[in-house]
Amino acid sequence: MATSKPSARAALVVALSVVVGVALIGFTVGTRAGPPPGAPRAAAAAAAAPASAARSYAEMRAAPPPAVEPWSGRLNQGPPPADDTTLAATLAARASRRAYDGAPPTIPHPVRQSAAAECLACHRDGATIRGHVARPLSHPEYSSCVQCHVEGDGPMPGGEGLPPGPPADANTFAGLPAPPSGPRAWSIAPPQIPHRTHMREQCLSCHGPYGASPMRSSHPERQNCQQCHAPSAALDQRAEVLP
Amino acid sequence: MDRRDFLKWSAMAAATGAAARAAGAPPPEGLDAALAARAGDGVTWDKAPCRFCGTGCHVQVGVKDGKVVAIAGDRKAEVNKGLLCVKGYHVGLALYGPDRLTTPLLRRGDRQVPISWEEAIGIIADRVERDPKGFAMYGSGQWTIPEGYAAQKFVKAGLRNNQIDPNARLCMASAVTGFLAVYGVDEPAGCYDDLDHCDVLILWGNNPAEMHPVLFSRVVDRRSRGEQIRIIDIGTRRTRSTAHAQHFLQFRPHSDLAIANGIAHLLLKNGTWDRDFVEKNCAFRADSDPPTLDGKAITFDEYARSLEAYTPEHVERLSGVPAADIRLLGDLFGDRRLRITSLWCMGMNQHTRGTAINSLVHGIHLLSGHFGRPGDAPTSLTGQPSACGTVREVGTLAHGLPGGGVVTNEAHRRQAEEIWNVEAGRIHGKPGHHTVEMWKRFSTPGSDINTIWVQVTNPAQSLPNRPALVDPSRRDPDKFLIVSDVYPTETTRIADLVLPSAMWVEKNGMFGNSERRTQQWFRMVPPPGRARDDCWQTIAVAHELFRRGFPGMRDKDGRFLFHVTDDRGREVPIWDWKHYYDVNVDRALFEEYRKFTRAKHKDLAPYDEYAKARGLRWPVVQQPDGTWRETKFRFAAFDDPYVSKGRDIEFYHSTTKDGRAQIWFRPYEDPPEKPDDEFPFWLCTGRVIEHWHTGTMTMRVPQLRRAMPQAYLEMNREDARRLGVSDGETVRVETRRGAVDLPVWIDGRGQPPPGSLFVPFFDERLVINQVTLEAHDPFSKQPDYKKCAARVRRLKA
Repeated sequence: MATSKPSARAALVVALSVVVGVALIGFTVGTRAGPPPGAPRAAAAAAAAPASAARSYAEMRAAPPPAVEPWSGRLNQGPPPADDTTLAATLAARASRRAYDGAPPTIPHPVRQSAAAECLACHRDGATIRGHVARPLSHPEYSSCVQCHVEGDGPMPGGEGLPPGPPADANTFAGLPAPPSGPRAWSIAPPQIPHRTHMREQCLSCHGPYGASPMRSSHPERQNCQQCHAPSAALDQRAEVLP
Repeated sequence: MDRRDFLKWSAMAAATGAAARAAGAPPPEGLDAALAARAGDGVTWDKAPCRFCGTGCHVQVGVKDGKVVAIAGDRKAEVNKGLLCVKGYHVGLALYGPDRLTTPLLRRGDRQVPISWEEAIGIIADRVERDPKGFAMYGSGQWTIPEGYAAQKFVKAGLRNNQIDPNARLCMASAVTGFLAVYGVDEPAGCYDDLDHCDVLILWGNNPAEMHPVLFSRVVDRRSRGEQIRIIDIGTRRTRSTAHAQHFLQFRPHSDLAIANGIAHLLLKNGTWDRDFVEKNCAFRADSDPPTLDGKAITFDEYARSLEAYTPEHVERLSGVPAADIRLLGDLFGDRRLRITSLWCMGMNQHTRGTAINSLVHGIHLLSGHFGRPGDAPTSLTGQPSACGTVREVGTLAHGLPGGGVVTNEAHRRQAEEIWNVEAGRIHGKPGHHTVEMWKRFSTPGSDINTIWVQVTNPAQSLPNRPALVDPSRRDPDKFLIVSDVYPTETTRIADLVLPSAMWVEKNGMFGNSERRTQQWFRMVPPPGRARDDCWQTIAVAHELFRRGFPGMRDKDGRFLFHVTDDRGREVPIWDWKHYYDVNVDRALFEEYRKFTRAKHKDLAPYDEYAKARGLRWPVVQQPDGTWRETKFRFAAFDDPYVSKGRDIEFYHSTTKDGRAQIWFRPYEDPPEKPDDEFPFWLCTGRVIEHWHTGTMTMRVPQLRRAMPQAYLEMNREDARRLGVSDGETVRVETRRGAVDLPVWIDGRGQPPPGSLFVPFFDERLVINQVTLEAHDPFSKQPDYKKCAARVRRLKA
């Protein structure tokens, strides 16, 4: 744990600045040189085609961009139409793997019991495998996955003849249900985030392309979620009133 | 909840009660109504330490309509910073198993029949009056601090027989004797902050990925931030922790002493020990004859000579760890630029040489100077939420007194008698029986222990060699077993009297975790049925004896031993359940207990400071401005206010009274039982992440139960092939003490090497402690659950 002296650190900063600066110049010069020799003709043609002009939000509201399924902006239509059946089904599916809203979900497939990081093979960026969606991690900084997530069904063989043991399925705990949506200040105001954001910083994990309808965002072109959707200070344990 | 809140609640409760009476409904009782009123429409959140392990995470408990409905990691808690493990996230469900005990039960023939609390309290008082010397309490590292303190006072000042011992004897007694032998005072010098600063983490027979997951994450998640941490797993089987380690050093059970001596040998041979640190702060020690905890002083030369034999090659022969890996450890400890933290728990403690290996690991940290800087720490972890707070600090052991005192020391007894306001000579100087001895005597006809009152633990499942220590007592009509618990357990089923208890946030409480952090919480929901606090149960029996004129239950002024007053100085009848929550009994007991804690520099702050904090690490010392400051690094001048001016490090409770810690030499010796032709396997027992100890709580949580539905036998694939055993097949595990039938799980959660078996002890249907060995450490009296000789027999032809 050696710490460098201030002078050494300053020298390092200077040296690094020079390296970064040279790299930037090189990069800029490189991009000016046009398509590299031998690039496919189609790519060159595409690069030559005029890019569509950027439009303001006002223009988008006047003439919505063409829908690209399953993605389409609905900025001019207010909130997406509520499909109660789908929402109820989605929430029920989520609840079946959680003891209460905010509990870590159980794992709906077998895992290797002694595993460390292999969960990331599918869950790092998200994937669809034979129709099953592996959502990307919403808290990639945590690396011991099986600390919080356990298999939904027993992992081991044998033991069929055992007496029932302590009753578990009759547990009378009634977990807090997930809210169907966040509160809105008025009918088409952006809803507030109805859950805590700690360990759920990656909104797109559930609200992005792998999210279940209707939790999937209707306006994926907007990248800064918390610009419009306010997190709850109480749920995030930032409120001063909390004991 | 501060006092104002409490008054508000009380007023609300009174108003609600009056309204209910006016409406013709039965009046709700005391605080329960206030709690119900508090819940209101939404969810209210309050802090509590987790109910399970010794890590001491804080959770936020969401309560609605008098029930726990949600849990969240507490982001203000330094221990866990908002993270929990799967048990912690589901801790709220532990309250709601369908078969909570809700009424006192008395054995009549083969049945246990409901009786009233008055009758139950009377029966216990009868048992005391019949034979006060033969009445023992068997408690727990899950007792809250006030519960343990009340039991301690009840036994040592009330019954005057010192017959109190806890289940923590089974889990961390050798850590205590290790600390005492080395530093002269118990508990770690460092804290969890070491995990944020270490460059190397050494696991000594330890699997924190499952047993202390939040602490393990605290280390491995540093890698996500680009930090480099080397993890070295010194183990007897591969575990989930191994999966995160760069090095796995597989050693033969019991040979960890050889490895530790091998490291010390290399430090001396390579000249990489920290001469300056050792000359200033250490002395050398070896076993005396006969052996005592303090041993005898030896010179540095004698120490060096004792280690000569422990060459890497010799250590390889003893331990099976390649000499090159011993050299790797020697080189790491020899490099003072690195910060090295050692972690251990049951592997080193449940060991017939537990005191010895604990002192050796402290020794290599001292010898190499890897001590007293953040990240350089020998850190012992505890398994229970208040093994430190209640057992080690309140001293609920046969020989202990609060604050680190012992009954054999007259000055300590006088101090206790003064604080308890009882006459000099009230406390006996002879220790009671340690756990194994207590139960052995309880299971011996005509012996001196006739009644045991068990609180917050499940000895029929967790004691070793149950056929010898527990079962004989159940065939003896003179032996009476009282058990306070929250669910039916292996122990309540064989009890003569069962008392239903409140658990966790159904009562006020305080815990003390593995890093000297004292924690507090308030009651948030009412207990079910007629379940009541363990602390109340103890006080109610004490008062019944007081009422009957039992002399031990009065102080020297003739007042009740648990005399608690309200703001105006009037006694509150806390023995009457209706009035138990009229005052904060925890607060009253804690303020009394706190007076003990200065003697060994384990200073605790006033109760109200803990109500505000997410725990504080002792010594908590008041500053000139009136605030209270916790201490993260003990014995180090940069943080510990009790180190003398001019010293960098001072061991101010040194056994040699000169500020020095002891570096011990202790030889490797063979274990009491090891595999032979008849019983060719090592058998190790332990835990899994999903279940907590005997599973009485976690086996009733659906998510945990489904993830880990039953106990199993881990066996190496080669052994299974040789015996013709297939995965999932039920086989019989036999030792010299008994047999258990278990399904085999190959390459499951852990992978033992050929010749080794592992069985978790959580499953009450598959009690592996039917076959374990009760052999124990000579100093700590802690049994060795980690090794005995076993064989495996196929049941199918």
